[in-house]
Amino acid sequence: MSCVQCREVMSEYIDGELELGVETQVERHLAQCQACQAVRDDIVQIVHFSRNLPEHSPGTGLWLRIQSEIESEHRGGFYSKAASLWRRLTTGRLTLSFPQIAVFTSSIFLITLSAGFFGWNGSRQESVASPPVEARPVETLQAAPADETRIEDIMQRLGELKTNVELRKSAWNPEVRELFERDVLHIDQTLAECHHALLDNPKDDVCREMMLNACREKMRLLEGFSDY
Amino acid sequence: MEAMRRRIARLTLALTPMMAAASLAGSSGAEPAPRFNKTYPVSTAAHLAILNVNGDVKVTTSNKSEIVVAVVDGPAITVQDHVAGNSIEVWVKHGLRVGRANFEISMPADTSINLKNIMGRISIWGVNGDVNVNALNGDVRLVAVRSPSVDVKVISGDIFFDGELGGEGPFCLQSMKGDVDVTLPASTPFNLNARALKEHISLGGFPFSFSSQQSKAITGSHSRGGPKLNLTAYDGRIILHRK
Repeated sequence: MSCVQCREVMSEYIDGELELGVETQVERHLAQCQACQAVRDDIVQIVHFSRNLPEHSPGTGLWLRIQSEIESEHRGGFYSKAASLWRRLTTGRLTLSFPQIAVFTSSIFLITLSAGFFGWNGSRQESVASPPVEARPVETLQAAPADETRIEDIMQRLGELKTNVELRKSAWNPEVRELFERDVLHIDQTLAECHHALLDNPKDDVCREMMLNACREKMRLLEGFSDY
Repeated sequence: MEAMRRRIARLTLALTPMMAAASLAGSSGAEPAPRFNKTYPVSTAAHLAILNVNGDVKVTTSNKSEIVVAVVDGPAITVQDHVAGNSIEVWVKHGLRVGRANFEISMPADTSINLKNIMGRISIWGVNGDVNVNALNGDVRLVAVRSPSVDVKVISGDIFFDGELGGEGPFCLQSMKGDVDVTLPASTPFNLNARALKEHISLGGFPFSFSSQQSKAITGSHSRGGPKLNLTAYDGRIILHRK
């Protein structure tokens, strides 16, 4: 099994939905491919993270806004489908599978996080002036622009970088490898602590801000090491 | 017996020049020649970017209109540079497969500097230009600095700042694992935004007008406010000192 084939069925593999033969092939491939192991670990982490999210019931206002958006953007043929969907939602006749619920819950959480983050980033941008043009390095050392810092983008980028670093790690000397592992572990522990603190108190804006910043720091760490 | 004596004499004669050569090599090895040493003439407000991988970086200032970059104590590494007008960039290639490369830099005080390093200590002394440090492992020390803006990020290492806020900022110091220690003149006006996730924040006797004060986050202004001073420590203390 190739890496591409393995990653195509990775979600099903994690959900335990593969046939036994395919599952065995995936496991065989994972046993010898560090890059795919890294992808699996990331997906497992995201799934675990999503499942531990508190469930929030969206208010009526949100549904009304969604309906209004749908109406304004997709009038005509699509409108009838949307109206039908809306009727099913409001009458409670809409049934969702677990994956649909999980995706929906995650989306709501990510929207909330992104909104919170953009709010923070907006105020941060106000405070962080760009360096003079001549002061910019060849590589961008500053924080990513706001439109690139959505949490899902960060998670995706982290996965890519981790895969890249895993491939290169074997060429490093042992001292560097140990240092890298220690830094990754430290950031992951910090992220986990922030996550738990947020579960305890979802209104802890400082913690949310620091968690997102820690994600960026992990990205910076992986980017730093992925060049070598 | 006589043959043995002659053989020893011949051996001594043959070895003497070799020993002398070895002795000379040993004495020159006490002060190793820099692996890379270049002088770049610059005008005012130059910009220097250093991309090191494994090794210390020491920056000092001089009154000369030139930037001197020397890489010392390093193994056979490849150092490259690029000059575009008043902007100079020097970087190390293949850094994680070889040993350390220590940089020693002398530059005019008004030069703005951009440093990137994976492992190693960084010290910057007497700089008045913008400072940007992107480091992963190692302490960062900024002494006698009067920069208009400072941005230092470290994953693992302490950050030590002793200087003045020489412009509108911002002045951002952040460490994931290490202390952030800042010494400022007592009369410096500034707006503080300090975040310490696990350890405490010590305000060093600066009388602040607080807009928000929590155990791990403090926002306030000193002397009616001024440039923004953003201090962040995830696993370390934030310590302010007045001088």
